[in-house]
Amino acid sequence: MRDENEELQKLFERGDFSNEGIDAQAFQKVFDALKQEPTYELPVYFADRLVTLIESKEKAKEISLDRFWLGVGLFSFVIALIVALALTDFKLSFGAFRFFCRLPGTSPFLELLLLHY
Amino acid sequence: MIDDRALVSRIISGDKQAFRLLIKQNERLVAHMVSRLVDRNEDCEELCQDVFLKVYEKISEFNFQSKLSTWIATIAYRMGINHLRKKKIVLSDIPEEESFSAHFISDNDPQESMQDHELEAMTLKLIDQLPPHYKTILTLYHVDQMNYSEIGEATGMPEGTVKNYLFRARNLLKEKVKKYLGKEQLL
Repeated sequence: MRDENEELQKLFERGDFSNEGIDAQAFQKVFDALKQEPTYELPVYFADRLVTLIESKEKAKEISLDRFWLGVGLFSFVIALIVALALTDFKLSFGAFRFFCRLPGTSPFLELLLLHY
Repeated sequence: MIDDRALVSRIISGDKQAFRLLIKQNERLVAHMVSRLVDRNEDCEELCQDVFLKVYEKISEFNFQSKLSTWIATIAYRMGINHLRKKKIVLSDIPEEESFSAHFISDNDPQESMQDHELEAMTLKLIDQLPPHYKTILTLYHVDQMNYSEIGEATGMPEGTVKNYLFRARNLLKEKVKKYLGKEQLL
């Protein structure tokens, strides 16, 4: 019986069958039903929406990568500054501007300037 | 129609319209596979989207050992199975012949339970009641015109298993339809 069914199925697969007998008729119904597409369909805009989603994801990824490199740049700058200060034995000095402190009336002038702002 | 190699290289070089074309060419196949594995339409669409996102992510790894559609079907099948596992839906192994019928389709009298339906609708309903593996293989073979080897590649099953699943599923469906036809002829 099993072999008989297998043979019948092979005949149906080849399209070389007769409709004689109840088994053949039943297989005919089954093969006809199996050829029908599932009813589920994706929306027509599916591909467009997906491409837009990918583009926005890539843009977001690009922005976060830019931010990462900005952070790396700032961090490297600070490190380089610290190393440079340490290596050159740098001391903060106002240099020539210290001259203004010795001038009479500078303090009230600076106070006025601060009040103005 | 653009060939697989040209399409893939265009996608890798960042051509979004090429990827849009890939989706258009394969959305029917992916929708068929996913809808056979997943019941809810919302889940189907979400899963189809995830499948194509994975395809986009992995396209540079495609090595042209198979057809592009078979490779996409493989991804769709794996993601569908993972989805079922996450939802804790039990996936059947190949059942023993005797328990096969009882396991998947109740042996109720079709005349009683589906008397208002046409035979075709009844057969479609029976197909829908089959376990996910069987439905997927039947759809890939009969609707998407894949051969045994391509189905084997997509599902990770040996060709012999694919053939076995096909024959057994169709035989089971035939037995159910036969019962109905028998009753019809008696009337």
